[in-house]
Amino acid sequence: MINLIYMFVFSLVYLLLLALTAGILTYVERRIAGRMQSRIGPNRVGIQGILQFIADLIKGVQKEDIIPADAYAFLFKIAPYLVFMGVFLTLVPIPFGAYTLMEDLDVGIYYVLAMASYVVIGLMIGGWASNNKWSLLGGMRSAAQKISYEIPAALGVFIVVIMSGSMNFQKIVAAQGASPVDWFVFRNPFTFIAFNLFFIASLAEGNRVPFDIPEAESELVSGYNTEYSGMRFLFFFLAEWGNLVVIGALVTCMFFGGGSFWYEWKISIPAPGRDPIVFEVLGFLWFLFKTFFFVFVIIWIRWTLPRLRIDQLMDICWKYMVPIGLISSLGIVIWMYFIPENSTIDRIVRLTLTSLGAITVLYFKYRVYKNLKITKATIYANPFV
Amino acid sequence: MITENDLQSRVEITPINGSEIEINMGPHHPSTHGVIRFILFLDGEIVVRAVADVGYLHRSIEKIAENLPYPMFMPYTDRVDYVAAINCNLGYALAVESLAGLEVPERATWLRMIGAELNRINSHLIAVGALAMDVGATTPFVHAIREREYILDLLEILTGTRMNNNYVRFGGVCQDVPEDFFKKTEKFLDHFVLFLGEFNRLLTTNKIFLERLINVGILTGDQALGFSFSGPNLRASGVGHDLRRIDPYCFYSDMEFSVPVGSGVKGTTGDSFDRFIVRIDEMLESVKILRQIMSKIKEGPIQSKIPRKIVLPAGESYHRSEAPRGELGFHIVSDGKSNMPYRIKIRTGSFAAMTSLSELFKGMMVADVVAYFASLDVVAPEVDR
Amino acid sequence: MNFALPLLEKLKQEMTSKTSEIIQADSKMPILKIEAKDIREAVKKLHDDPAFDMKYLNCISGLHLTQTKEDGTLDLLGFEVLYVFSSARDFSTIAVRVDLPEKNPAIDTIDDLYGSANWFEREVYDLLGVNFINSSDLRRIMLPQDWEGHPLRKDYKEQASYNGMPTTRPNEMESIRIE
Repeated sequence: MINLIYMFVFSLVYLLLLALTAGILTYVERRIAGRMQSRIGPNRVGIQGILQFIADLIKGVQKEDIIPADAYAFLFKIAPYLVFMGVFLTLVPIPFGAYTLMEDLDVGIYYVLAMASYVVIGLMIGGWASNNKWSLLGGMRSAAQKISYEIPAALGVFIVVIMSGSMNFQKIVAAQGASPVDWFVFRNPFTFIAFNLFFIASLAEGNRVPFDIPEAESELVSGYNTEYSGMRFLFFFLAEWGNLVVIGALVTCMFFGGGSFWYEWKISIPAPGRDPIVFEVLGFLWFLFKTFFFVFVIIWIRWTLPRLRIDQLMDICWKYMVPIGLISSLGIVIWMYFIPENSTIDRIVRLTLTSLGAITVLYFKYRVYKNLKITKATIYANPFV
Repeated sequence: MITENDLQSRVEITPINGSEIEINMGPHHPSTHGVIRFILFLDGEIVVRAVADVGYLHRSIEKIAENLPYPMFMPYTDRVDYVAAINCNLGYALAVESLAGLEVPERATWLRMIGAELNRINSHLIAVGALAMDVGATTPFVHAIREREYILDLLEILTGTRMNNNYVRFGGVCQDVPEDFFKKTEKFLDHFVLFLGEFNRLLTTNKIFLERLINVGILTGDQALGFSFSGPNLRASGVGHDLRRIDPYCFYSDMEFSVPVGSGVKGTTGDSFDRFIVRIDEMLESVKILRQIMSKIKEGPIQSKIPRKIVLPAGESYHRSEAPRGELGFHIVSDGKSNMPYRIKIRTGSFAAMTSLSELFKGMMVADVVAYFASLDVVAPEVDR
Repeated sequence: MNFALPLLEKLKQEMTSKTSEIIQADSKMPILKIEAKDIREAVKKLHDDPAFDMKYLNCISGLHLTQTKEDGTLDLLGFEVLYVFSSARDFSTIAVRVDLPEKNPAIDTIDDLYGSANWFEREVYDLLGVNFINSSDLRRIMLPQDWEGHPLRKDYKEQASYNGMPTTRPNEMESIRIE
């Protein structure tokens, strides 16, 4: 009984937090998009428009919940909740800190992959039950896309699992360290590939540009959610932005050291003599920072790139990502057999990869300033306009 | 004569094979650029047959013309193509002037050319922006709109209105410009060239964007001629047909500019990317022309004396000029007695471009349909008139 | 304008029937007026003969020929269809005109030669009611399929209601006019 209450309370807290985060993310995304497009974005409700999402929520709830006459009403009604459930359940094993997690599952990654594919059912049902051909096309596209991209994502995860020797998120985080050289992303070439595979596949699974084919606005009007209105429509979007957090959190956990925020401080093994509460809070904040950095990257990609075509999307998955993933999984096994951890070669490779990453970032910064100079433009860094 | 065909429904419904679905794209659809309707018969994602249906914006401009004196029809030509209003004004004015033998002062011609070229850049910006939008890149579209806003400001100084300018008068233009207009235009042109560089870096060189357009909707030169394409669409297929060159009007024969012709820079000659890149090049050519005009323009009268009642000599004439969407032809018939035209037929580039659709859509994917149609730069009011 | 008079004369000479004539030869746009039955022969020659090489159809236009009598009524004289072609080589342009009778105006289609001809013909058919014989797809293009009449005819009367919807509405300014 106590367990049930515990479960219920924590689910509620998580649900509210996720809803709040997703809401704020809608606002953040619109502000960032505004910045990228020489606009201001919402800035009327609350300070700098921060309460815009609440206004949107109120508006959405007030709208009539229209169910088309020819729709299959029952499935039409439950589809958005199925989608939302799929996203929400993936949050369960993600460790935001040493103790800030719902359930320390031993099959954490496996569970996340399973729940992520659950979303497909919701989208498919939504598209089919709307009895609209555009929705049906959207639903079909989304099913094809998500099922395909499960595989590269799983292969990316597979490499991490081999590296850390566990499917438990806590142990995966503990297998990495706080400094970039300890992160899985820079550990060796194959984990770096794994990161790219997983990140790209996550974009595709989250219906984000350049893979937003299921809801391609200019082709399918709005895809599977064409016929939805009011609260049900909001639920689709809650799921979409909730999914951003999930992607960010997964990437942070598996490749960027999770919440480990100082050298030798592994997240689940508090350093002796440190206050566990302070440790927990700092770790949590560090984790959130990394997560939102990736959320920002995803948003940034969305407002930069065009959309792929469905056959190109499938090509990328089956002709490139899956073979690369398979080769890398073989490669990682060989690598781990021949090059033991913390040997000289391992250290050199780590350092090289890390510095390559740093150089990429610096080069990017140089490119940006060069282009700004060419176009005689200036960056307005102040986000409050 | 009313045949049996007339009594059928608006578009003939042909029987559907077992594996096809019939899908109705438009008249209200994000990527049909106004109210144009396609009926697509899909096999999965591939279009088997397509029917294009127009007429939702038919305002009977040609019938209206028969009941108005010549000068009073001028504002209606704005509405033929609202994106490039001055070009339509100019085409009509030139047609009537050449028939009536009216003189145009030199400065007025220069001002007309400035208006026409600014409007051409304006129109091409919309074209490339909307193409970017239709393949999923939102930000370049907004950037293009931002630049267009500067042009609209300039046009406001030039003509007094931002759109539907009604600027050209028989024998001149409606108003002179303030002296600082040329300085502002010069400044804008400097900025605009830099902007195009930025635009190219953001969009034109983007791999996904290229993949979406290359080898999509290939039209050979012969095909394009057969479909009566004109303007940038025809030039993209490798035919150097520019009425400013072939059949010079105003002072275009004195201008130094090249006619950009599609050469299959990335794929095959006449694909959608060629139609895109030709428009980008043409904007640069327009910038060149504008610079030359501003170095040559002198003070002088802007309106010649014209008779109060314009009566054209009896007979018919077909006068054409180069609008941003291709050949803009005015077939004007006069009975020699009335001050109203006996008949005006407007031939537009968009209408001709529409004729290719049912043929070209066969075998395309839905995403290609959108990309190809956007690359033609069709504006609905110009099709329907 | 580069409407080519020499090409027109050449075409006139090569036609089998000698009834064609060049009108407004001294104006900016000389037109070859031919009979309706000759249109396919003429257009085929223009399209296929390398001397013309008119692969480009600029426009098909049409109009209703009428004359206003002294008492104000209209004398209906038939229809005119004007074809404008351009050469694919040097883009010199010629115009060919066909006059049709008032009753059952019909002319052979050319949509097997030019990809775009079908839509131009449909527009002429829709707005003027000229029938194009053997057309592959002759439907109305601008107006609804069940519309009555052809609006660009000079004697066109708009139908009072379309599918139960009145096509005119009372002028509201009339009701508030201050006498």
